[in-house]
Order: sequence, then structure tokens, then C-alpha cells
Amino acid sequence: MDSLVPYLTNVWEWATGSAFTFSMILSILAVVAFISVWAMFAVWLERKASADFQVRLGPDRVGPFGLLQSLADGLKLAFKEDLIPRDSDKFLFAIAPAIAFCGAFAAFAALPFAPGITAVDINLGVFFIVAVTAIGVIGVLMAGWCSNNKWSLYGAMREAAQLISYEIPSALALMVPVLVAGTFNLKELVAFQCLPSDGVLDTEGAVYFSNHGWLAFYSPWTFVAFVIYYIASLAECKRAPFDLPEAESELVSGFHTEYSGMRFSFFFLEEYGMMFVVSAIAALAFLGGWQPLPWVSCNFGGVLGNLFFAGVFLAKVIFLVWVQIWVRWTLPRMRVDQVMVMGYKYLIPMSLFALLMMAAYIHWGVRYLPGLF
Amino acid sequence: MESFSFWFFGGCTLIGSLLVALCPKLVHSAFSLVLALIGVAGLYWGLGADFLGGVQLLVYVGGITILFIYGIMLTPKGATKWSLGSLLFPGVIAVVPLCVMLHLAWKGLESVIKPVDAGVPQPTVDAIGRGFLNREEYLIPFELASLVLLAALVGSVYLARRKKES
Repeated sequence: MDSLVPYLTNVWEWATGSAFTFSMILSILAVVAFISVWAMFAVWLERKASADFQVRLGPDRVGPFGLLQSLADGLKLAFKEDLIPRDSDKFLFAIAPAIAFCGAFAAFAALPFAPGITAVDINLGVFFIVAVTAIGVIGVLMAGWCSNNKWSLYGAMREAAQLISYEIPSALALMVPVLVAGTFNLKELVAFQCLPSDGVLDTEGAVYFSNHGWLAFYSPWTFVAFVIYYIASLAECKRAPFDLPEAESELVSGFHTEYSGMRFSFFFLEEYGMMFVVSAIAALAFLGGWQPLPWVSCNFGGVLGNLFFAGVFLAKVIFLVWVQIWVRWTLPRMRVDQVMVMGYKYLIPMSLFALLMMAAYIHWGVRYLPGLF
Repeated sequence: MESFSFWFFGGCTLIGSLLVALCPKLVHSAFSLVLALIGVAGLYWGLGADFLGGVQLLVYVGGITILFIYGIMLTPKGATKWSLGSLLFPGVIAVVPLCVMLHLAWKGLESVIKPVDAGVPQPTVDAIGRGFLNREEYLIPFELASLVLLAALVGSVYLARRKKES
């Protein structure tokens, strides 16, 4: 499983009706089902958290703790009329939500959940995910343009400017752990973080001390990179304080103003899917992936081991998503010019500096402070 | 397997490129360009150039086309009106290279390039990185290319500034 080629093999064998049909369809269905369930859970979490921050109760009628509220809302959206504005570009209007969803969907295919749970193990992992998430922006631009509405257009243009600006610091920050571990593969990044002191990963069922520890705490520069990545990823998910593309006080609701029903819910799926993807990358590349503790690693095999690892990984992702929600309900929205200044004048130089210093540290053989250790 | 991915992504590229040329609306052409570029990325992957395919997606699909669309969104809406006269010059420009390419593809190339079975494609990131930083190979062209890009950046900022002042 070295590149996309095995994946294409599967596609071919699926298309011609020979082997791998079942696993292929199963993994596609699994990803779709997971994104839907995840989005429902994340919407519930967001509503509950926002209620807590504003001293309200939040949804508490449908199901235990209001857990089924999102399901009820989803049903409502499915039954709503699918409005298409008369003067819009109807074809583009119809396909834009699907294209916006494609980016998050393709990124999910490459995410490993545990050593044995991944749809496609791509050698180019981090790079592939950074690259395919860009497809989502095209869907948003399309939606904004073809709605024939000036708020939609402004929202889409802000989105394009913001995404292009913040892709640079987030990709540069991700290069720091890639530089340290020497691989783009997300599984190998996690393996680097749980490498035992003697460098051989052989004993199964063992709990041992890991020399490297989580990459966020590997060196000061990896920590700086982690913070930069997290801030830039907020902007990439259009989350507050960077939610200018849909700033409802200025732009009604930005690029999806004209959308309703199922097409609207696809933009929701995209947003919450992207929240999962960026948090998952942060967890895998900086926070040890499925390893429960920094500097202490375990190597479990079998179904139970994989389930345990997947649980730890999901817990980390949910925590990071919760921090995103926390930030959203705490900080006010930035102005357009402030967003650009933040990206170009602070985050990009800082991420370049962190990358350069990390390279120098590796060259000098230093981890924390030159001359000390 | 190769033939399926080749025909699928080749078809994407071909249909996308045709739509770019034939769509009456400029914005439709720009969105079709995305399809063509994704097809090219898929062809790279099919050839085992995984890093190049990723760069194609990141730089062309995620960066350059978005800037294209961004610019085109500011142009007036509406379809381009075609006439025989306006199509004559671009038609000549398109048909002559097309004939040359077809001739090369039919006659010339099979004597020059022979298909090689390279086995299972290996990841290329490592080799590309080492090639770039190898002093005997591509280090100087690589640095020169980045200098040219820097000069272009500084120049564009300078031009934008001057326009604003006047």
C-alpha cells in the first residue's frame, strides 16, 4: 500500500465486478455513515456547549440529554423544499454543495483511525489531505457565484482569500513534524511518536517508555508549529473568529444564503467534516495519534487493541473539536483586514521561522536548547 | 487497472479541456479547468508520480484556479457572442499545433519512447528532495527558479504600489 495505485486497483476491480467489491463499497459506506453520525454529534455538542457558555439549557427534549435533536433537525431538512432561485445558474447551483463536500470526504479516506483502521493507507498522507481539502473551496466559490446574490458572492470571495492565505501557514506548520519524523505518512508519524528508546517496535501487548514523545512536546519549535497549525486550521474550517465567509451580521449567511433543505445540509456536513479532519491531523501529527499518554506508549494488536486505539484517537479529536467550539463562543469575529494581517504578517513569518529553526536543530542534533540538551 | 485509471482520468482531462474551450460563459470555463487539472493529477498518480499529483492538486486546483475564478467573478456576467471572424484566428492557432501533436503521436513517438515496465511504483518524495538538493544535479536551477519567483513577487508588489500612488 504505497500510493494511490492500490486504491485505483480497488476502483478498477470494483468497476469490473471482480475482487475487493465488498471491501470497497463497505469502506465508502463507512466513511459516508461516519461523517453523517459525526456531524449530528458535533452539532449537538456545539449547541450544548454554546448553551453552557450562555447559561442556557440547550436542546434537552428529544432523546436523553437532547442527543436526538440533530436527527430531528436532519429529518426536517430532508423534508424541506429545495428552493433554486430563478436567476441563478441552476446547474452549478445544484452541484456546488456536492463539490464542497468532496474535499472533506476525500480527506476522510486517507485518515487512519487506528493502526489497523484506515480506508486507504497513502504514503503521501499529510500532503494528500492538505491538497484535496482545497477542492472544497471550489464548491464554496461556485455556490457563492451561481446564487446570483451579492451577499453570497462577498462570502465566497472572502472564503477564497482566507483559504488561500491560511493554507500557507498551516501547510508550513505541518512540515515541522514531517521534517522531524522524515515521512508524510500519518501512520508512520504516529509510529515515530511511540518509538521505544531502543528504536525497535517489536513486543506486542507491551507498555513502554517512548523516547520521542508526542511531537507537540518534542521541541519548542514543534510546539510553536502546533499552535500555528491550530489557529490556521480554524480559519480553514471557516470557524469563528475567522467565520467571515458566513458572517451573519454583515452577509445574511454568506455563500449559503440561497440554499435550503438537503443542499444546505451538505454545507453543514462539509463544515463539520472539515472540523474533524483538521482536528484529526492535529491529533495524529502533533498529539500522538492513538497513543493515550505522552512519552508512555503501548503496542496492542488484534480487534480489541484497534478498538482501544480508535477510542483514544476519537477522544482526542472530540477534545480538539470542543476547543474549536469553545473558541467560537468566546472570541468575537475579526475584521477582514485583521484576518489578512494575522495570516500574512504574523502566522506565515512565524511558521517559516519555526520550520527553519527546526531544520537547524536537526542539523545541530539539538532537541530543546542549543548547548544544553 | 492502469488502463481503467488512464481512461477515467484521461477522459476527465479531455472533457474538462473541451469544456474550457467551448463553454460560452467564462466562469463555466474556469470551473471546467478544475476538472481538467484533477484529471491530470489522476494521470500523474496512475504513472506512479504521487508527489507530483499532490503538487498538481495543491498548486493548480487549490491555488491557481481559485485565483482565476476569483478574478473572473469580477468580470461582467453573460455569454460570449461568437462569430466566424472572431473564431478564425484562435481556430488557426489551435488547429496547427493539434495536427503537429497528432502527427507526432501517430508516427514519431513510438519510435522514440518505448513503454517500460517499471514494476510497482515507489514513493517519489525522497528521490525528488534529494535530486533538488544534490549539488551536481538540480540545486542551482532550483535556486534560480526561486530567485525568478521572488523577483516576480517583488515586481508585482512594486507595480501595484505605483498604480495606487498615481
